[in-house]
Amino acid sequence: MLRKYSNSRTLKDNLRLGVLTAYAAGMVNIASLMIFFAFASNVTGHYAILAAEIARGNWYQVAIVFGWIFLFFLGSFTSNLVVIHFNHRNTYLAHAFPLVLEILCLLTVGIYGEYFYEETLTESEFLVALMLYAMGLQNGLTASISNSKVKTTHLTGATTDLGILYSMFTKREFRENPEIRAKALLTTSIAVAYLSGGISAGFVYLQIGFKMFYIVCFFLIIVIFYDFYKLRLVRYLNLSKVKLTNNHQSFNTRSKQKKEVKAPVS
Amino acid sequence: MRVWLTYIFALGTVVLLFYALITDRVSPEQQILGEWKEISWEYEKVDKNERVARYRHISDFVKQTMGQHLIIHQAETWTFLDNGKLKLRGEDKEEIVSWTIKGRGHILELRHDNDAVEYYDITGLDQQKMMLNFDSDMQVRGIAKLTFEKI
Repeated sequence: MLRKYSNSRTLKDNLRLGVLTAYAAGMVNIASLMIFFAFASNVTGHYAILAAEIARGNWYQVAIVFGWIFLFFLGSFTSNLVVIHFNHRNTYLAHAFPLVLEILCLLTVGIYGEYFYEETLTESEFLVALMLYAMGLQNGLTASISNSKVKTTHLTGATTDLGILYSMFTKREFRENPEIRAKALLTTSIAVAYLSGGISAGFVYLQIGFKMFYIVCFFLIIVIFYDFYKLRLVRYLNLSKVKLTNNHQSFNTRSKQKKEVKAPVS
Repeated sequence: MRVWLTYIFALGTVVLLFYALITDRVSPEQQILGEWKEISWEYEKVDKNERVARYRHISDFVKQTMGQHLIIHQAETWTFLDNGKLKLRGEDKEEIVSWTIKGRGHILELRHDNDAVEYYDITGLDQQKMMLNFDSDMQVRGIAKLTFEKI
């Protein structure tokens, strides 16, 4: 999911990454809406609110919403900065780092919410800001490494694309085009995952409250460790297998040689 | 190096802009503190029929009916205390509930002792006036608006 970049990524890579991160984003967004009454992943609404608050002259609200939008921007900026500057050194680490940051942000929200949250406005604003930064990190990363094919924190573009794609399917030539079918599959999967994440967050939050953020972190940890497993564990096992086979072969050869040496003596 | 300086300058400008916007502005949490007197309940979305549209104000009977599940229907003065408590005072009744403000300072959450929760949109708040909106799923169509004056 994370170790490949841009056009070298397969549909399977994008599907796995898109579904898991969109599910996490859907959960974060609904949790934020239910707890803090503010969206944490889709920023379009915040732009509209910013404009409305400027028009009304509510400068406190203008500052808060402006800060939230800026943090989403900063998250995306951080992700791509890390990817483009460290990609050549270690692709996997450069791609995993923004997700590690995201997990830290969401863990902070979960732990703070569970043990320290006193429901003041400043705390709410700060926690929403952290979530927006986390979502910026995620969207920046997925868009950056997938050549903008995977965007998982909002569905405006995805819904537009789906409208276009499904209208294209009315023509046979497009229906049979594997590239268009792949794009439709990816976009539909992301939309379904985002919605499912949101619905499950609605139920889960009522049961376990802020602990729900640990579940979101769990999904992101799967994303990170899937490639870690592929890269390290499988390679380690393969190497061990090769070593074992080599050892076995050399043992056989040596024992054969010994037998050959011993034979003339007896 | 020059590029990085440009980026640092841009970031500094944004932080300064944020600081300028946030300082000297009173947070809604501070602004709401004190005693407020209810002056009106109104329909925001009135009926298209002109004969009905003239009646924007809600009668006491309707107010009682639509607000029977809400805590505010008998309170004429609301006193927001800085310990997170709200004193609701009516003609012959007084109740204390907990209050918090959420979102970007636009949602007022009121919590009863029995954990029942009510939410109101703060659509206007300044030194003299406060406007709250709430949706009712009863026979009252549209959004009702409550206006308060600072005492």
